[in-house]
Amino acid sequence: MKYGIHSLVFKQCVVVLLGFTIVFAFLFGLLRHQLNNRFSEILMERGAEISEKNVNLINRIFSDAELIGQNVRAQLGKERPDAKNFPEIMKRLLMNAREKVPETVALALATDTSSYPEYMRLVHVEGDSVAILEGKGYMNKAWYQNAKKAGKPMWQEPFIGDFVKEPIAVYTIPLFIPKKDGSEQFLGVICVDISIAFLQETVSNIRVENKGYAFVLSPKKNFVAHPNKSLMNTLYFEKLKAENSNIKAINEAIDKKSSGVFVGVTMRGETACIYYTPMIMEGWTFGIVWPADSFFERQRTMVRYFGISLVVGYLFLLILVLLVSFRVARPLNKMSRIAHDLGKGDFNVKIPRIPGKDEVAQFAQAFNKMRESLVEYIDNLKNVTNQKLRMEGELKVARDIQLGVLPKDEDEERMRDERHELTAFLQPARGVGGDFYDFYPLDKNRIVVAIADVSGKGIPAALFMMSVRTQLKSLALAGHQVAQVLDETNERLCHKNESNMFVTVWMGVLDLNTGHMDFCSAGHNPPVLCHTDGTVEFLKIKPGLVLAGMPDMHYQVHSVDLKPGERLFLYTDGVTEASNEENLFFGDNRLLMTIEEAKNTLTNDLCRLVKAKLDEFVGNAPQFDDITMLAVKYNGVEKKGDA
Amino acid sequence: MLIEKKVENAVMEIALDGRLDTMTAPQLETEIMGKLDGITDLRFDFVKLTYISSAGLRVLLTAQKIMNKQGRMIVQNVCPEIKDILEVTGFSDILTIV
Repeated sequence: MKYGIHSLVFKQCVVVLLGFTIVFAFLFGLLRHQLNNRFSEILMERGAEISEKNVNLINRIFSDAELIGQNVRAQLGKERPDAKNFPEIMKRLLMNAREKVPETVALALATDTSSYPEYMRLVHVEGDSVAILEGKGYMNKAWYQNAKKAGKPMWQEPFIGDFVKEPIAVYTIPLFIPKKDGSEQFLGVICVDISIAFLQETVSNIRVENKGYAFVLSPKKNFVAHPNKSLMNTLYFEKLKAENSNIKAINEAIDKKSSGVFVGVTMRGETACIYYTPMIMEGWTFGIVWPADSFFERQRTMVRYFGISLVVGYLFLLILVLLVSFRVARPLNKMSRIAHDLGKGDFNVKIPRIPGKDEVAQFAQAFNKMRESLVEYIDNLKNVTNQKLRMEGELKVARDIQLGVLPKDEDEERMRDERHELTAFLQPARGVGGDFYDFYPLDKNRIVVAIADVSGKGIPAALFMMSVRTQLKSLALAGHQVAQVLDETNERLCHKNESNMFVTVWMGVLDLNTGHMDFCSAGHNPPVLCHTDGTVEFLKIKPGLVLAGMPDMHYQVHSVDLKPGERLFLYTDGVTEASNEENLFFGDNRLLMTIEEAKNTLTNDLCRLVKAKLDEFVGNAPQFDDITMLAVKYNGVEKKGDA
Repeated sequence: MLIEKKVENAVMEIALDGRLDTMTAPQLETEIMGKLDGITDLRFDFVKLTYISSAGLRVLLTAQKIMNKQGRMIVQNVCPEIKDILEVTGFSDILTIV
């Protein structure tokens, strides 16, 4: 039993599993997509929730710091301090500012005027005291350049100051005075320095589920606040790695100035979901990181479960398909083996009973029924064939008996003499036919010749023929005239002739001394008369009805006088109606021509010639009817004087 | 052989087409036997009949015997070949050939 790639089992498995895979893959994709969407939604919601709590707080501090800056500018403009009272004013402004925003660690004014070129005054809180510092060398500092270039207030990229030695965010307000020509002249920059340690603290304290954390990113994408203090301590503002694929994503996301979620890789190289939202400070971003390791655990678990159920499903389906397939294929295989055995003629093979009522079981039942029917049929056929053979054998015996009663030659009837000679021939068709010929002497000088054809075939025809022949002969031997013989035979045959069989008879009585012949025809073909000059003709008379056709018939007696040497050829329609392969009859004309050809021959040669011509004409066409002929030649009486 | 049979009241018309021989005579026999009750006029049309054998003659004889008792039977449109056969067998004496 083989189940190769061409087997039903294999094909079914492949098709079903393929279908299963497609459906499963589609479902998996759909589910994953839905889950991802849902995750994004959840992360967005969570991100918004966390940032709302914390970013607002940070934003408020920074916006307050901006207000401080505006206030400082306004106060300086109003009080117009000189070099002397400037420190006092600045100190006061710083104290006021710290009341509002405790994170304010310094205020500064950096100028670039003709009276104060590159001169900076800075009030700075150190512990509980406030120090005033003076400084130079800031002209090329980024914050100064940026502030001057921007021409409007802005938050600078956080840094650790030269004077304030801690991470600070600086809010810069550039100062201009209008000139006479309407343009503005740059005077310097007011700085509000905010310690951003609180940012670090605030951000570190933000609890994010799944081991997540928050961070703040400067406009230059430096980490301003990050819970990883070691990271902060060593590098302070860790620049995102250049090769980090996040950069582009983060840049794009931040440039949109809207909130969002994306999946990226963190500094530690972990895959994570990253939420971002803009802060009040231009270019600053608040972000939340959920490490994928823990956060995607559920998703991965789901995928794993999905994978497991896929494999289990595969196995389960495979088993089911195999069960179903084998359920079909195994019996089919068995059946095909059995069919093979049946084909070889082994009808005793056992057909397994297949339980159930499905198509396969039905097929097996039908198959079994077929086998039984075949066995029965073959038994029947054997019986019928045997019967047929027996019947054919019996028919042949019957025919032999039937033909056996007919005289073979004149010696058998002890009628051979020199005044005549005759030959009879009968070739039966398959089965028992109804033709017969007959000849016998009535007395020393008279002989009877007869030929007959019973309608129908088989045993009935044979029995009928025996009866006809016996009656004709017995009546003739009893001394009746030929017409009376036929009349009487007809009456007897008509009596109780239920099957409406009939027989055509030609019967003649030849006087061997004179050549005179009295004859009657009961519906039989006219014989051929062969004259001594070689001419031939049908001995046509008006025939009577066939024997056994109708009762009360009176047959007309006719006569012919045969001259010495003349022959009379009797035949049945098996001769004239013998057909060739083209279904043409041998016919009357061919018969006449053939007989004409056999000029003055003996009757034996005449019959042989007719038979030969018939065979030649018929070819391979089957013979349907008996072929019967009887030829008689009248030789005349030898004159005693000649003897 | 084709047998076309029409029955109208007591008249039965049978037209034969082909050969009426040993093989086909049983067909005609089943068309007629036991179906002639009440028929007083049986008409055979032989216009398309090409041959008749002794088996065919037997059916005609049987029909004729029945119709002798209950009406008449005629045979129409007989071609010369079949007429010869009917004459040789003496059937022309007992059949009504028109």
